[in-house]
Amino acid sequence: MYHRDLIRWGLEETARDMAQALDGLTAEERRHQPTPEANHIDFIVWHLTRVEDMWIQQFAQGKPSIWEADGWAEKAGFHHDKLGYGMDIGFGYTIEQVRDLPAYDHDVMDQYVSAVRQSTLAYLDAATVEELSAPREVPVPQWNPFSVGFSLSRILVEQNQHIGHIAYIRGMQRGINK
Amino acid sequence: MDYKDIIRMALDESAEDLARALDGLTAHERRFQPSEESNHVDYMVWHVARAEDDWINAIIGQGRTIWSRDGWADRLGLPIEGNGYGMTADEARDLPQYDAGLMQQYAGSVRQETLAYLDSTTPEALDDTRDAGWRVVQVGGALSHLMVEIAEHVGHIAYIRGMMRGLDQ
Repeated sequence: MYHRDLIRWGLEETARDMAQALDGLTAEERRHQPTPEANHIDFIVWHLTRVEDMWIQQFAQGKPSIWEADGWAEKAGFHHDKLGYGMDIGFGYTIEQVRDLPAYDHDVMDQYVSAVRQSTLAYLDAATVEELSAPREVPVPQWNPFSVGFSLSRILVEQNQHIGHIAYIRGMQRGINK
Repeated sequence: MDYKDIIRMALDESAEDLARALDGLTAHERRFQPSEESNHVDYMVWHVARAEDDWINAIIGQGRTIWSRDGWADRLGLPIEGNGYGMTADEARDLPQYDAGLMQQYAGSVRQETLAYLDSTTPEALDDTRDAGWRVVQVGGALSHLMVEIAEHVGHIAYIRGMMRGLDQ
């Protein structure tokens, strides 16, 4: 079952790199936009976790997302009725929606991030190669047919690109390795 | 689907995303640094390919890098030693200007070797350990790290592009 170790290691390194990139950032640094159309860190952290939640809960297991099921929008102070954009996970947001993302509580977001990751690892522990390979359909036509294995590989790539964004924004504000 | 497919899909996706992030950038844009200590795209493209070459051919393969074996340092006018890791901000800024098309050929050769190596692996071989100099790694761990590191650097490049060009442009 080597696929499992490989993904777990990848996710562990991803989590470490994200923690390092976020360590000690102020609320102001997390909202910094170097240009008017550049994403800020608060948006990126929320978005990358919502996407993982979507793949693992909704698409892999046909359940509601943890975000919806456990009331995280409310806990984190989001008002989706005002944003009201499609699946509302940050994908396709206009730059105004990104800029106006609610200033959320970082500890609450950390807890949501951990809850999603715990669920991903539990799912991964139980998944067989057959389950990972089975073709599936999701409501986003350009991703079909997909498999859970594909989505796990995609989570690794997408999250780490986003962590690259975060680390780069940190570096611009603080300098090399600070 | 097995571990090979997972790695291959991740590398393919990163390669597509990298090509999109680099598409049509001018030489000037590739040297843009938003702050004095920020890396530029030229540095990142070189570093990420050199690091992959080191991991696959020197550390895991315990042989020579393509960089040294095929004379890429000379062809590109870049240092034979080092892959950029630990460079100071001054050194990154002063990286010699290189031919971007030639660098793409180098990165393509590295990736070809990586995929050929991946095809040749067995699950047992992934448990072997290698001394990377600063730490001992399992071959599988090195491959997992490669997926993570490459994607992070692609993220840097895409962010720099976005700052210069705006959203999705």
